[in-house]
Amino acid sequence: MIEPVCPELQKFYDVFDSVDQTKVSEFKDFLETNAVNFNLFKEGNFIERSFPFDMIPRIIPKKEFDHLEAGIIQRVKALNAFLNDIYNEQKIVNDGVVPREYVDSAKAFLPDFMGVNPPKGVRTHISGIDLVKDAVSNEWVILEDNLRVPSGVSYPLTIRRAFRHTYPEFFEEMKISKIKQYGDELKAAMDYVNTGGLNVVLTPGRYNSAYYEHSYLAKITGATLALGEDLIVENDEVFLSAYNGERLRVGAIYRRLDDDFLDPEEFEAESLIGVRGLTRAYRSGNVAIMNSIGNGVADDKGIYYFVPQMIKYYLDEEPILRNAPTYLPYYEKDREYVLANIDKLVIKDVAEAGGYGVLFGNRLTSEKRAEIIEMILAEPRRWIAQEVIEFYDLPCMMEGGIVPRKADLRAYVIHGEEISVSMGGLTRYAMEEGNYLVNSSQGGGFKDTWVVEL
Amino acid sequence: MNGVAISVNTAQRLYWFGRYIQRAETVLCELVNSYDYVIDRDIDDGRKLYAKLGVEIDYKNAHEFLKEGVYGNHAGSIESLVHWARENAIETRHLLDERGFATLNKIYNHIVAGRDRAVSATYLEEAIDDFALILGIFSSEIGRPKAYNFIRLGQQIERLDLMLRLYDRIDLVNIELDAMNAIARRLNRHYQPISINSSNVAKAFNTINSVVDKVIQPLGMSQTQG
Repeated sequence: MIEPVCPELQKFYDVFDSVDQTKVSEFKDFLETNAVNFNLFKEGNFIERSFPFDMIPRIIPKKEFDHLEAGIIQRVKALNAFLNDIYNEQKIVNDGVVPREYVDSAKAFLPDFMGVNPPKGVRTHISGIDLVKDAVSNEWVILEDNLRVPSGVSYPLTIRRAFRHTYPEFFEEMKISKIKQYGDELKAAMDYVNTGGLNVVLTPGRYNSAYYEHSYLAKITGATLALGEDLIVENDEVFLSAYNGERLRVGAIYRRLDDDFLDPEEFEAESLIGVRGLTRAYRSGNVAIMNSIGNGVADDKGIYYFVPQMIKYYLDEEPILRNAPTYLPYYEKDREYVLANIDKLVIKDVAEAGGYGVLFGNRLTSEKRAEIIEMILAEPRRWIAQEVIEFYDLPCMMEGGIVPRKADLRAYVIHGEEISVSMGGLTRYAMEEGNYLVNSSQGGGFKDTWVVEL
Repeated sequence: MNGVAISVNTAQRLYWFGRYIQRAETVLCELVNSYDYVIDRDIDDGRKLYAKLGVEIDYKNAHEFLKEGVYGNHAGSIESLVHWARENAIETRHLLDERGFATLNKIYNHIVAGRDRAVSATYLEEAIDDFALILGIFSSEIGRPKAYNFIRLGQQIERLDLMLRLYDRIDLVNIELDAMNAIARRLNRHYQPISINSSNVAKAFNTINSVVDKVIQPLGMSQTQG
């Protein structure tokens, strides 16, 4: 079902009717000429590809976004508090709000980091909160929290500039919230936790799917873009090996690689993209790592179930935004429900991301369904089940004209001295009609997101 | 302390970006000139050109020569030079002018898309202009960031290298040596200027190509700045 046209979107269409529509092709040229890529690996091959873009933005009325913003800030505050608690006293577990077994069995929980506290108590420096708008209730629903290495923010930032240059009419005639301050806010967040030294964006390198973004973020924050081999740890301090033989102290690292690859001394010993000894420096409080090590316990799909309780527990507030109705097969009652209703539910593997490991019960063959049931019974902690959210389609301009496509929204949150939500975000849409998987790694495209005030 | 610091890897990428851009522009100019000769003056002119670059090529007519020059399976092909220039640019694009990067990427896209078609000499002339634009952007005297000095160093060393390789002109190299020494000194205050006193081309090659190792010193001094 397509989202009803709000007055703000109508205004977009009115302006669009008056502009030179042949210029739409300039966006594709822009993305190709500037190699604004989201690369893919397929069958072992590296494929450079532009991130498909649809020029009709997702438009969110300012008032509606204000509500979203409040809910997202509340959520990130609670998640940061949860992480600080879980790596220290674990009050929330001791008080029985979150079951201990759920924390202990979370793959991304790192007990070796108990008592290790990041500078200024910030762990969720950059979050990507995934939401959809439920077509039944007309309300926004949180689908996922991404507190490790959320990607995608560079695409709306890049295209917004192109949009302004190609079609200034929209920006002259509509009151569209600005997003270009994202770079300054990110830099301020880096400076806030910096322990003295350079700000660095740590990238796995040119063959990472989001390398364009790493490079872009370094550019807009003025940080140094570094590979693991560019950094060295001496006496538990991190240094950049500069071209002239000097070693420059590093105070904050916005790392764009997962915990597993961050430090071969601590994690995956074979990692060639990490920095040997980095976790020693982190433990000693000599460097800020953004996002913090061990954050994965909070965006575990099983822990997601408990976020509304965290909000009540840490903030003593009612959640402003709701979760998708979720069941944990780990609990007998939920398990019975899931097994009885598997054909109506979405089943998710908690260890997977990027749209992988998501199964729609109604599309499974009876053999596959039986197989999944067996897997759930064997490893109940590994799975969650959710009611299917019938989220809105958005209008997309494709070769056959304007067509509906499922779309979500990733909101970007920066947590420095304050918590701020970028006044836009990345809207991802599925390429095929009826497909609920919008992830870029599943071949989806993106739209800009405009927060508009009439 | 904050601001952009340049790592060993980045410095090397910027340097090689400068070299490949300069090499692509020069080889492209030479290719188009030679094409004109191959048409009706000296069919072997193209072979002679590439021999100077250490590459053996084969062709039967002017069109084939152009195709071989752009798409041939050798390190001197325009496709290969542009590919390597772009690879180095991708890894350093956070420090590069967007217009310069986009212009190079446009050339790359055009060359890749044209692999199965006949090569247009007219397009190659346009590409020469585009390379001149790229070189101009990174040579701009106003507000030039340190990163561009690595590009200029690469560009300058490549120019000297090609003066020897293509034209055997040690005299020209000597005239331009001061400019290269000045850039190298700007990048590394410990750099000692080089001079070329002999007429031995091979020795001059080595001297020029060793400059970068005196500027980018991965395991050199170990000074720590707080």
